[in-house]
Amino acid sequence: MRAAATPGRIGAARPMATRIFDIGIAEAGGEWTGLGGYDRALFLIRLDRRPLGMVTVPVRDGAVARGAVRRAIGPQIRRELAVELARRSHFPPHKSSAPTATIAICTRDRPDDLERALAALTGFADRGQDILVVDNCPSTDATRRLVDGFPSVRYVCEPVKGLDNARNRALAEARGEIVAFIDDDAVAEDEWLDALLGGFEDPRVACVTGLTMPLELETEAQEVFESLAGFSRRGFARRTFSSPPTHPLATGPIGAGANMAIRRDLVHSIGPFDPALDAGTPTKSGGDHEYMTRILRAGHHIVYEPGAVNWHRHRRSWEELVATMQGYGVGVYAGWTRAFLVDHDWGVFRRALGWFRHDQLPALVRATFAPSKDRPRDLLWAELRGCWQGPFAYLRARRQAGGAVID
Amino acid sequence: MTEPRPEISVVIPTHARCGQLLRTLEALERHSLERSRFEVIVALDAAADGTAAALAERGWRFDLRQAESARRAAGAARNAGAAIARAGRLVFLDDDIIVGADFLAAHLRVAGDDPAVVVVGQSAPAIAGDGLFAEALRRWWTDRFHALSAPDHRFAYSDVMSGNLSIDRALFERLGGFDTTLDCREDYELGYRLVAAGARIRYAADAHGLHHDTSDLRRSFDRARAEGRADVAIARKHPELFPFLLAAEMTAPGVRAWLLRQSVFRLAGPARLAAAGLGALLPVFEAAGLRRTWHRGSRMVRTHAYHRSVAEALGAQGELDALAGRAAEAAKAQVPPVLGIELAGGIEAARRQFIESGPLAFELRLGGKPVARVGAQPGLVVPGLRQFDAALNARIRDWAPGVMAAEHMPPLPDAPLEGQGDPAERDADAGTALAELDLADWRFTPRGGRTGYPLRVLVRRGARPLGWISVDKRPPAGALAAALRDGVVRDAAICERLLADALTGTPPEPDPAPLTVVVCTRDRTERLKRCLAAIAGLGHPEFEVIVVDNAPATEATARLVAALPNVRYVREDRPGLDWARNRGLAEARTDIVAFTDDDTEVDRHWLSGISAAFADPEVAAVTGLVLPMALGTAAEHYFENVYGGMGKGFDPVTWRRTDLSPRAMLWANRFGVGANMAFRRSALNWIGGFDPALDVGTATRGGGDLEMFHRVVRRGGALAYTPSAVVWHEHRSSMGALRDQMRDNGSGFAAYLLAVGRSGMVSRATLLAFALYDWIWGWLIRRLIWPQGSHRRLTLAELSGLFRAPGRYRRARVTARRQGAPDDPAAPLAEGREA
Repeated sequence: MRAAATPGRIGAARPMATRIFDIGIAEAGGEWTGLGGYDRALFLIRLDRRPLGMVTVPVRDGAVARGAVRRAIGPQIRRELAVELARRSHFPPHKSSAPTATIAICTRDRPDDLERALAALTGFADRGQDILVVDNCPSTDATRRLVDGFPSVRYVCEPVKGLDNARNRALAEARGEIVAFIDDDAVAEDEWLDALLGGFEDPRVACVTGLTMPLELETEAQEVFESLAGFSRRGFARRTFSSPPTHPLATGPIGAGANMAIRRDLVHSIGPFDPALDAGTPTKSGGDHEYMTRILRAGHHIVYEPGAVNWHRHRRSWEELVATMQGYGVGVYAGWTRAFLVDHDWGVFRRALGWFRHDQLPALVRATFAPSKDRPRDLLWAELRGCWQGPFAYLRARRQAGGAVID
Repeated sequence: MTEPRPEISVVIPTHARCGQLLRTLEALERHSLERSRFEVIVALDAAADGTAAALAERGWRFDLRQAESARRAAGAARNAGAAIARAGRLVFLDDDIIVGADFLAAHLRVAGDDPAVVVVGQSAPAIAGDGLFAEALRRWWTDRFHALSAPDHRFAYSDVMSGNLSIDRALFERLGGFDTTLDCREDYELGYRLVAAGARIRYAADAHGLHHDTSDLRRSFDRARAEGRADVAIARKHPELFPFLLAAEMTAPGVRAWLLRQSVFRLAGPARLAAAGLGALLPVFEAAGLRRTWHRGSRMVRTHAYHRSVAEALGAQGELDALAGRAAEAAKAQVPPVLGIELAGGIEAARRQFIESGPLAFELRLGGKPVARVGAQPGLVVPGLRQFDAALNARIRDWAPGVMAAEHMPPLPDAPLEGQGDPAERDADAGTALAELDLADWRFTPRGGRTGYPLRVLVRRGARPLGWISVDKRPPAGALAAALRDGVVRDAAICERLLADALTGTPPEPDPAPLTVVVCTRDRTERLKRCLAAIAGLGHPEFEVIVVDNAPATEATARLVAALPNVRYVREDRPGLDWARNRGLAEARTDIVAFTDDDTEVDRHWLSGISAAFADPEVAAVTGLVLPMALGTAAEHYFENVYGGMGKGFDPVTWRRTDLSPRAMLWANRFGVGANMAFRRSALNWIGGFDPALDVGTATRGGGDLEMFHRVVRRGGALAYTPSAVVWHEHRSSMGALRDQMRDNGSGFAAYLLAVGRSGMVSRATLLAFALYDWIWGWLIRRLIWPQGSHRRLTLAELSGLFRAPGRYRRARVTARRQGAPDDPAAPLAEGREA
């Protein structure tokens, strides 16, 4: 069994650290020792390479007791196991001609993270894919120098600040039919690209998203992020979204830009990413979800494929976490502002009210009257503050992005 | 010199759209196919607008001929064009579709010389404008071709769209071409005859053209009217198709259909006025950005236009009913049989069965239960292997556990299962018979002395119980094993447990620890005899049995135990089950002490289940699965199936303080039952012993086990529930006894809460919130208001127990103190671990 993705402890032992393991289901009966400093262990359980689910068990005296993981395997994992066994023996994967792909990493001044990401990506088996690094408005030439060290990676500099500008640049520069996006702070597995591309077998599918697991859960901020907004909450069952029944504005459960692939020719039918959205602009996030909204509205399908795994390093400090949660609030409302202003979708008001009434308000009430470590009030407030700022941020970002013409 | 015959004839019907037609022809000039391999026929209809002259004016790089038809209808024009075609395959192309360079090659490739193949090409919408109508039209076309491109699409007559279609000329002529009496939907009508003739429809996404649809909102309403007329004509020609046409929604039951009928037959005038008004409002909606309102409004206007023209074509409402009647007759004449395909025998076998029988309609079944159904419908092609696989794949979450588990079971035994008796008169009994089935070897063991049906079977694999299945009716002779197998594969939870256990690998058996089994009893010697006999049959290597005789009235128990080897007799004279339990703990010589009641029968793997759970050093207490010994009477059935019984499910759970809120922790009845529990004695040093003021034999009549479980978890010990430690419990068999038990449950649970409150381990507010809201309201009062199968009488008995509890608890405390109980019975027995 591999102690995945945790290169070593950072600093001294902190309370609330969770060790992450990546195991095959046949190993679930085992025991794990030498976990001093951790009080929980999270196990990603797989059948061969296909993830079935995860369990969290307590660590006592630096060890996970024999059989504890096996006992913790619940009905959801068991169902995924049965389904995966059936799929494997009765629906062997087609050996059809897979579409060509470009892997695009949009980055900005994070050469350390990027190096780890590129090291993983360049180790993939060659299926005709190419790797593109879009350096967004860099302040140094560290990224360029780093990419020079990877001969198989293409470097493009996008001088206009904004993640969506970088994404659009990637779409323009890409050579493959499919463009697979991955964040610079995420590490992809070998099967990641194949799993994403497999989803495009159905011509109706225009976008495939994957499962993003936490690379480490060493700090409280990372723990809280994972339990509050973690990507792995999307589950381990393959799902197809289309509208109807999925509401085009309800793209949260589908996936995120840290792990998604889209057909490049989408640009011709639904336009590029909205440059007024996402990191690097006042709106801070939301470009990916807004794009999925347009994909669904145009009648395409989106597949969530948990077989496409990458590991994302969450922000370590509490300040960064608060900023991230606020950024989510800004991004969601900015995306809805765009949906209303550009696409004239009145549904955003209902959506916003529903989110507040059924989600945010009860959470706030709970956090006020029954405070718990998993639902800190300052994060909820940060999100609400972000929601309030969202529409103004969008308008400001639009002005900055160069006037009214978005698409 | 004879020119070679072309392979493909492109027939383009046109009507007074010369400029558009020229663009379409120019696109064909850029086509990659050699000019000698295709010819183009422009089929002009009656209109004379100079198109013919314009075509003749230019030289074309391909063979272009003209055909003329007398009637102004696209179908007639296409027929006229087809009549002079020379090639073996016809391509019908509309004059507003600009094709790509590989268009004809793709048609030829997909057809592949097969005369039965009809190829539908892709005409992607190239629609100008960005209004709501243009957007909706674009989406309509996109959805259309998306549906066709789905790998598992089952083609229907309405997929035959003549704008971009190729068909074998001989087939086309044999069917008589398009129906020239239709001025719309003539392609669907041809499609219907094609499907009936066994044609195979294929979709070619790369037979690609850009469709310059210049329709607008007003024209779409005109089009809806034309479709209404056409549908009436089609329904008259093919009555069996009528129920699947839009017009049939007027004949459906319900208010909507009634309103539709009224709006076109009785109140046609006002309805027309309203539709016109709504139509006039649509631009207003669009300008205001009211998307949904616009979509709804335009749909209403279009639907009204359609139905109005249906009504006009029919003339009277009676005609509509006549059409529906004829459709029903036609449908009755041709109901296709549905082939049932059983999946439990494996997917490959099911596939073979499907391929061999080639059914029009089929149903996938798992253990006899329907999983998916693919029906037959007029105008739908016969389902193929793709549809079969798609139906399988769509329901994979439903059948995967059963089918995959069946592969992990040994083959069904050849010999019929013994022991289920055969006296049929037994079936008349009200009760349910019980049995066990071991999936490791199909061993079937009746339990509880009752045979017959309905039968409830505990399914297990070796020591691991997996779940219950039921066999309601007597299966045919010798078919019991198959009926049981069907029951197992139908139950996804059982199958999933079986699979997970098989694939997680059996963990190495820990060395069995020495154990003490304590049975507390009071004047129930007959039951105790049965209980001890089962314990004597346990296969555990090292254990001692202690019988604690609690304030006995007779010497019967002492005499019974004296006659048994290896059983120690201990007498505890202070009445109260918890006194007896504490005495058992004190007398035991091993660290692990397991308790069971005298009215139980333990399973042969009971102690191995318990000792395996204690292998984790964190575990301070273990509880196990308690199953009913018999379900013969109404009281037994009620207690087990309505009240909830004593079983806590078939999945292991480890309860820890860290995973539970103080309030959730108070539901101690979720942790286990005193009839099947075990403790690590060294852990009880810091957890404390049983509270002698509680449980049977004292005034409180219950709650001692729950208070103990709560304290174990509350003080930080892990409590492991393991279904592999099974005990069969004899439930109260009469309703009177059950009512007493319910009253005792109410009083015991309240006393447990009072004891928790007294110990100060839980805050008053939490305790009060739990008692009032979770328990009294959520569990008792709610069941009084909405019984959902439970008996109000019994719930009232539970409530009455609750009301008596405070007095009883006080009395019991006084008694216990007089008998020598410590002031704080929950105090740790020894210094040690931090609470």
